Amino acid sequence: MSLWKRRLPLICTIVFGIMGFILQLVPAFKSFLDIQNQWMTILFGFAIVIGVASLTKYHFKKIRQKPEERIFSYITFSSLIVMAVATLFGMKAETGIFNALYKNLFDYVYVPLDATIFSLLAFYITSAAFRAFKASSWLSTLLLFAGGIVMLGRVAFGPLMVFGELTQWIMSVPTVAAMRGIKIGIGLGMMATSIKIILGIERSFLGGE
Amino acid sequence: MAEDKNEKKWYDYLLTIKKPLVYLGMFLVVIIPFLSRCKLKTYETDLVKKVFTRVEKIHEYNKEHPDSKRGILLGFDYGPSTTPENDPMLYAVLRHAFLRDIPVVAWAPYVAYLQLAEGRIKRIAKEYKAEYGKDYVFMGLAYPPTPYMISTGTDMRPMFNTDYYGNDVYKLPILDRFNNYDAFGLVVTISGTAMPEVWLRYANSLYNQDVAVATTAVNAAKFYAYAASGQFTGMIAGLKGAAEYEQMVTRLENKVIDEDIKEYLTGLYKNVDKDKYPEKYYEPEYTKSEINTAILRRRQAGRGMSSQFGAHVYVIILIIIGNVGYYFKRRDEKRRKTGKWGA
Repeated sequence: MSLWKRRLPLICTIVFGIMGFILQLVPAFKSFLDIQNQWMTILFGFAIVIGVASLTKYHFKKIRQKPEERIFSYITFSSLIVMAVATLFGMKAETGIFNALYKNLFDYVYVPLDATIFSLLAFYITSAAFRAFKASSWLSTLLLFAGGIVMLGRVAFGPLMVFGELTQWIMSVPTVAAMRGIKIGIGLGMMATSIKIILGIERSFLGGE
Repeated sequence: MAEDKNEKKWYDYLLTIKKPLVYLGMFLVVIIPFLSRCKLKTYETDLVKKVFTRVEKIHEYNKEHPDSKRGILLGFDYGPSTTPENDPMLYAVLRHAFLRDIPVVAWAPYVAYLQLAEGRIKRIAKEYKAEYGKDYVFMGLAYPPTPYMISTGTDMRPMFNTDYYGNDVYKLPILDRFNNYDAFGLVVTISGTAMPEVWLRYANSLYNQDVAVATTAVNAAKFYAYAASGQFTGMIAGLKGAAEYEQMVTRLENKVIDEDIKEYLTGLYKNVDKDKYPEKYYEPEYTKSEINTAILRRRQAGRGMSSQFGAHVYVIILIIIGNVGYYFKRRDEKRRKTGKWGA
């Protein structure tokens, strides 16, 4: 077992995992929480560096191995560099070319792109609902009716108010019951996985064993 | 018989409506109500009323205890993709807070949200003559959010050092008091992500802080369980929730300001000491187009609701068409298989 790749990360996980518990549970150690919080911010800063390094490595490899797709990697690289430089020099400046570049890239490229991609969902969902939302079994029929009632209920007024009341019931009774079951399952799973990681039983985050 | 099989029946036409036509229909039912500026009045639900009442209670408390006021900690937890749903929520909550003179401390957990947050917060602050550093503050980036939420249990200032504009956090008067959960009557997380659960895990579970959530309709289903158990003080869910809160705040605004909003905004900065409002935060005057935008902003969710009504009804009609076609097609196929065709 190599020290740097496996043993040391494992020791760090165990020590800091147990420390996290102790800091929260033992009142005498509460004052150390602020130090832990500041450390977390620094660690996340390093995570960004690792993220950028990993992205660069991946796209360099892609440029070498898939020449027909290299245009996309060039676009990724140029976007990364231009936005990083503009943000670094322009975000906090009040005027200047970098500030103008940052604001324009953010307001007229990033914001519309992000909003457009999300709004396309409305069109895809409409098409998917038309093609796939079929009453083929009693379960799908139930889903169909519940979906229809909630859709009408969310925009109900006047004579449609009966759907509004039904919607409130669907959202606060069956939905809550189902979501609680799912959430409790997820919570138990998270707890079990966390304990396994902290105790060193689950080691796949080190690269699999 | 072979001819029968190849012949296109009426339901085949229903089931093969071209995608571009479906998309065009969706585009029209959304854009026409929006451009015609229709506004849909909606019914008000308990979960949204709870958020409104909680903010009102903070106002009552502040009136009774002017020396130990309580504020609102606002998590600007959404990006450009969900602005149509989240923006009206943010506007309504901020209007309510500023209208009731409740101090607001805000932050955003990701870089991509910063510029959106800054622009929107100052836009609403300007409508109520809120002074930066005294009535509200934008702390800037709180990344990663977890340690910032935990440190607010004691004092958030060491985590930030400076606010978004680079001011020393120890020199901003609002932060002398509003730097930990004890000073906040409510945390409001306006989100298009899973961030409300993080607020719940740390602010609510660890520090017993009241948390209200304002979230997109897609995410709302996840949070109903927490709202039902009382872990979330209340919930503004989707555009409908935003429209409800918008209605309540507009009613309150009409009562408190008691003046036509156009006249109110026109005269807002006429006889004030403009030195109190440095241009770095916002310009203390209104142009005509700014006033018109501010008026339109007051019914943004209501206008969106009319588009949403069109879209929902359209989807329901499409589902009905699809199912009618599917039913008759399946019936014919069954008859064909059992040999009862034409019997």
